[in-house]
Amino acid sequence: MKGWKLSGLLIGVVAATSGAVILWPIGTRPDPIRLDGDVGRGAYLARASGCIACHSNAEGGGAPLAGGVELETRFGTYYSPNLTTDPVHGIGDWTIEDFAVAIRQGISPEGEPYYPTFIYPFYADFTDQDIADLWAAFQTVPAVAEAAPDHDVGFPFNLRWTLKLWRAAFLTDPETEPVDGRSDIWNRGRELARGAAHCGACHTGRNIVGARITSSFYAGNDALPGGDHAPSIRLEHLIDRGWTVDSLVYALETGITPSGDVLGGGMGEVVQYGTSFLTPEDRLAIATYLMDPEDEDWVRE
Amino acid sequence: MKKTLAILTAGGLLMATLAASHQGATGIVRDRMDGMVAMRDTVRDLTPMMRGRTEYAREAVLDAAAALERHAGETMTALFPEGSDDAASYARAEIWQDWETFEAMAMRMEVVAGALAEAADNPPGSAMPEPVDNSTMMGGGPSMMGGGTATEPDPEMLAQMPVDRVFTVAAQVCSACHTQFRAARN
Repeated sequence: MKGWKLSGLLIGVVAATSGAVILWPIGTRPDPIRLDGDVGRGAYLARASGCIACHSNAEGGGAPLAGGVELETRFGTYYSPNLTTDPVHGIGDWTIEDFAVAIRQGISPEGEPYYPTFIYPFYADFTDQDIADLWAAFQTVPAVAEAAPDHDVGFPFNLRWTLKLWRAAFLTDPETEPVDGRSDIWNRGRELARGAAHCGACHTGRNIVGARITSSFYAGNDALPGGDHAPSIRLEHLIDRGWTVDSLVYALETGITPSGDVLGGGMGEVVQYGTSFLTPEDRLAIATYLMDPEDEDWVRE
Repeated sequence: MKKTLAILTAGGLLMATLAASHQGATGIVRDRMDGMVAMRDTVRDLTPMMRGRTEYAREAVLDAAAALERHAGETMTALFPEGSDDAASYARAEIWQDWETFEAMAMRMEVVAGALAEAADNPPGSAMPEPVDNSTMMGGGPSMMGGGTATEPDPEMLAQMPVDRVFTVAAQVCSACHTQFRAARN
């Protein structure tokens, strides 16, 4: 009898808690964004941010930004959504404010939190002008009236509200703002590496629920989706593998490494769809930042 | 006891030999690894010249282009018979599931290597033949909003480009193939 009461109580508490979490409001609506966007700047930022790499199923013959790229993780299989201007299957019926909340806060127009497979935490510091530029660029993408497949994710991760707990526990500021006393190029590298270019999405280790571990910053990740592997990009390890600012710059442009090997895997994609489109100055900025880390803890594990 | 020691030593030696031979690859897997290593070394050796860091030598480009061409195309595809993906191999099974794409990339490598030799007359920093279309950033028709960099100037166009740009195009072909068809390394 006592046991019954206890489990009844427990079930009640669990139901009440999850009910509260389900109803827990997340995110903040921005003020209306009325800035004029620049298509060129937006497309450049989209390249730097990996939008095109992750949302274009090039291998499967899909149209640019029509989604459908498969991401196999230990939680299930995710598919990148269609970001074309199609109003039904893409983002054609969104407002710029919807877009801003999705990019910077990781929340859909329906108020649902996105899975962290979408790397919105890196985009949190995008300015209203960045958003307006991106928005303008996305308006130029031809509509593709095809739905990307639904995520195939098991219990309990299929319950979107559980992501609210994840957000509360693990969502941190990307810290892309300039650091006093550092050069402009280093600060630009910081902005890109910790923000748009999201190096840490693959090169920082993740915990059991897929959140990045602060102490593993840039220390590599052996368990990437699809069995891929990202090496450490901490200074010490870059040096061990023969990297310099100069060779990093060239690798971000061409994929060619100091040994003459050419990058493949996830990094091959990053170069092919992203960093090869950046300006030489921005590639130099990223390399400068990586080869001059801001925290001594990152130098050696 | 002595026998055990001898067996252990022999085993150790065998392991060391295997480790030294490209993770124990043998036969055709080893052959294609050797081909890839030859291409890698060629790229490594040519890079400083392509970046304008060492004096330009047309003959060196011709040699390098010939080496790349020799290991590409049918020479390459012949080294990937179906089923040749043993434990030592980095080849992904997708090669045989999408043979046409793999084959097209190997052929493209041969074409680009040939164009690299043609372009040897245009040292790094030469003028581009015509304005490069950079409007494709977002991946669409015009490519800033879509598409990658591994798309496609034809051989005539390549032959007129500065040699370092053709070298970059060759690397993009390597990268596109490694991205799709080479397994991650540990």
